[in-house]
Amino acid sequence: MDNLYLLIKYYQKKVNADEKLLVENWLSESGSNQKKYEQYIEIWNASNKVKALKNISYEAEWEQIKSKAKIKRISFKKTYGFWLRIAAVIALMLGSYWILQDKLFEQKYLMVQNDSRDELKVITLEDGTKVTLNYQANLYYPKRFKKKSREVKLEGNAFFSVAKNKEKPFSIETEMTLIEVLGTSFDVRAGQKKTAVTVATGKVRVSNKSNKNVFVELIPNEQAIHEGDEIQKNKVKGDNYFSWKTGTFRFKDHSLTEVMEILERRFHFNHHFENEDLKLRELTADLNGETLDDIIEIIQISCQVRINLKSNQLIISENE
Amino acid sequence: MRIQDIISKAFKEHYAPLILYALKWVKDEDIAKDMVQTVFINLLERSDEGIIKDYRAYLFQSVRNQCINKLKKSSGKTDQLEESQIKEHGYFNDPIEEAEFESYVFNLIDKLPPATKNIFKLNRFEGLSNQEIADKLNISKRTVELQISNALKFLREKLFDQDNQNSTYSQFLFLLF
Repeated sequence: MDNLYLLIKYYQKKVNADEKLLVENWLSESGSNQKKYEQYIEIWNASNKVKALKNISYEAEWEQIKSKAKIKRISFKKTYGFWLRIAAVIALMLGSYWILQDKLFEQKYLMVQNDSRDELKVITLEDGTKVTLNYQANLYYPKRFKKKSREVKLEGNAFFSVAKNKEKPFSIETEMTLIEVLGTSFDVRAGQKKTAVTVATGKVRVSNKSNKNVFVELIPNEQAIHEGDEIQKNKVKGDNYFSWKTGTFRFKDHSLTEVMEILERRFHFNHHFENEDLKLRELTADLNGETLDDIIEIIQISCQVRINLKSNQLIISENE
Repeated sequence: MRIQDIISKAFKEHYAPLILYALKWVKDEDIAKDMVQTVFINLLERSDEGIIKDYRAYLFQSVRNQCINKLKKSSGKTDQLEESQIKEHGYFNDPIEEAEFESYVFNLIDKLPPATKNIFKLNRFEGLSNQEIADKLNISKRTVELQISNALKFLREKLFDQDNQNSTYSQFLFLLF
């Protein structure tokens, strides 16, 4: 067959009767002709599909990919030297935990979980960093850190006391947020839809994982709220962001709603107000290491309410 | 070798077939490119060095997942998106091998003699009819057909011909005969 284009016309059913006969005779001559025909058609179809590649530019597109990739890196300037003595609190509050889909990650990292309501779990990492896990927190960490960085991942609430090492920045990755620090201590609450980061002392950079251009730097008593694509920075009052760990609570004109939310982080209960007015009652008290029963009694007296504890639920009602 | 150099090498080797592979799910060329680029971006951002043993398998699997997720998101359907999306094909049971074959066809088209290449591309890439090509280049329609015929002959010999000792696509000879 000299005119291979005839085979294409045959494939496209554009042949006339004579041409059709010509092709079919050729095809029936041998199995190898049949095979060749199939190969030509294969090439014909493939050569049309590959038009998708006609404008491809390997170099330009590779550069584009590289520039889009957020390669984790943080530069530490000399002004960060005072970090030795600083501590930061980072609180990331979220609804639910995310599932790590990355099997490779799971292979390489160890995971530790605190499933106890009553006890905190303390892990010491390879570099001496101490991590205190609150109830239901998961920490993923490598047995040995990489040469130039210390990277961990967190779900839930934990307190970090990071060993100082200027050469190896410490970073915590959560579902949506990246937290970068040098050597300090801070508290992290990690969830899925919303992230709140609060710093007590020190300086911490909080960025959107999916767009590193969105970031804030926090100094003491500042809080970042990461929700959707935005990170907002606010001032915060009080030091109760540590309380779940220290057992120290400083309430000053806190509403009962605020008080309950803060206490929940340490005692892991749910609460319910019998009526709306009760939420606005205010509490001023310094508490240090009291049990939940003691605290309930203090609140009952100070706020003129009744509190019943039933299977992990606090019911707050009017003191009749 | 730095991890980025390894990924860069994998990019050069697999980028074109990966785009063609993505096109088996998503029909839009830009979306297909986007899917593949996302996989490479993720790969660069991951810093678990030395874990991926087989980049070819990893990349095709990732592109496949990326495309299926994209389709799930845009259609809301989840069930019928697996392999059944890919049409049955004469030669290739494996869509990855098919994509690699197509990519090789693309490379070979570039090796056609210039006049033949031009005419073949006008037909296959630009979708011009043979009459349109003839008019455009001020040649006869018969010449256009002859050049396309030459192109097909050249490509088939390079791709499939066992007797052709220069056949550079030897890995497919196993598969096809």
